[in-house]
Amino acid sequence: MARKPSAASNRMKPLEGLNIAPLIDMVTCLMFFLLFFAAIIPVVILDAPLPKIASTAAEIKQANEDKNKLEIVVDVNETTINVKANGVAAKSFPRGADGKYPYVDYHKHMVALKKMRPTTTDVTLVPTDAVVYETFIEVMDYARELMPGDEGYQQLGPELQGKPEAMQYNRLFPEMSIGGV
Amino acid sequence: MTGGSGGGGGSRSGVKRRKKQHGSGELMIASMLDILMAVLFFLLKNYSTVVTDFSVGKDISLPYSSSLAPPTPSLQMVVTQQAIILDDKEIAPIVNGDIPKQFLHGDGLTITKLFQELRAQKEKTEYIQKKSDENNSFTGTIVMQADKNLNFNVLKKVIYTAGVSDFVMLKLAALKKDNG
Repeated sequence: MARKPSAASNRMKPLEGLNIAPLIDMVTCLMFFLLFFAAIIPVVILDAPLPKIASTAAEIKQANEDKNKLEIVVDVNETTINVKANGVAAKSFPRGADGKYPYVDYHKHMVALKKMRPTTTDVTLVPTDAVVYETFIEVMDYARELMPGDEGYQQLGPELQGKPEAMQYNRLFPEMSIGGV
Repeated sequence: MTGGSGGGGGSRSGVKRRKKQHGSGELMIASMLDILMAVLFFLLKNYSTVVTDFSVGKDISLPYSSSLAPPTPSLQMVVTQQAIILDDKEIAPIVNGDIPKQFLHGDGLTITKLFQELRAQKEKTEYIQKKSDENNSFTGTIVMQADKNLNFNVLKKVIYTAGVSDFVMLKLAALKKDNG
């Protein structure tokens, strides 16, 4: 006759493995929270302060010291980008047959201007009424920093690429202000 | 007896079979956990570098820029192809690519309601700063999100109004250009 199974063998054995159910719960909760709050669209900011008249003594002193710098004005209209700088012949960059502005040539000219007076860091942009905002941003971008292939361009390590800290390197004319307003 | 023992043996093999079936039916959560962890690390890594209180306005297509500066928390102004919005409140409409004359001051540049709202914002900020112990002064920083297809004739009026309202530290929002 078969023996009756003992009560001890029927008793529930403690779980041997790690109970990961609470861990999954936690991870899932965290993920939903992060997905909800994380900004998926990467937004960046461009500084474009309005030019102001030097009023305080410190500002006037600074303005006098700045006389050694180039005063660069970039006029942008529907057909051309005109770059004017004190003591340098004005240069125009008309739109091509494809309707695009010659941003690369404009950038090269800006690099040449920087080479003349390396202490100059600011540019005033003067767009006309018909200029599209996107064009205005492009004009700013091509004058703000050196690009690969430019003289003096520093290749950055992977730890800096795409990071805000990278803006300290390869600076061309990082201070842009909007004029003609 | 035999029947009983046979029945006992039969039940034992049945338990075995049931155990086998049970084992194959269990959910494999180890791989799921791996995926979840990978997604979590990815999100955590991105989360640390993104300022979350910056929201891109509706009905707006921002231009792309190679700038890398992260957004800063400040007063936000949105200029779509239809309207000028300050702090989620519509200030003035844009009709046929321009601001209607009735919304402009006599100089043809100042947007009356925007000027009033910005002045109110300035006073509010200054009042808060005065009440708080922090020694911060009003910086006049404003972030402008503008549609990439807008003409400068609209933006000029917006920027001019911000300037006369003492918001001279203009910051332009754009989408990060993918250099890869």
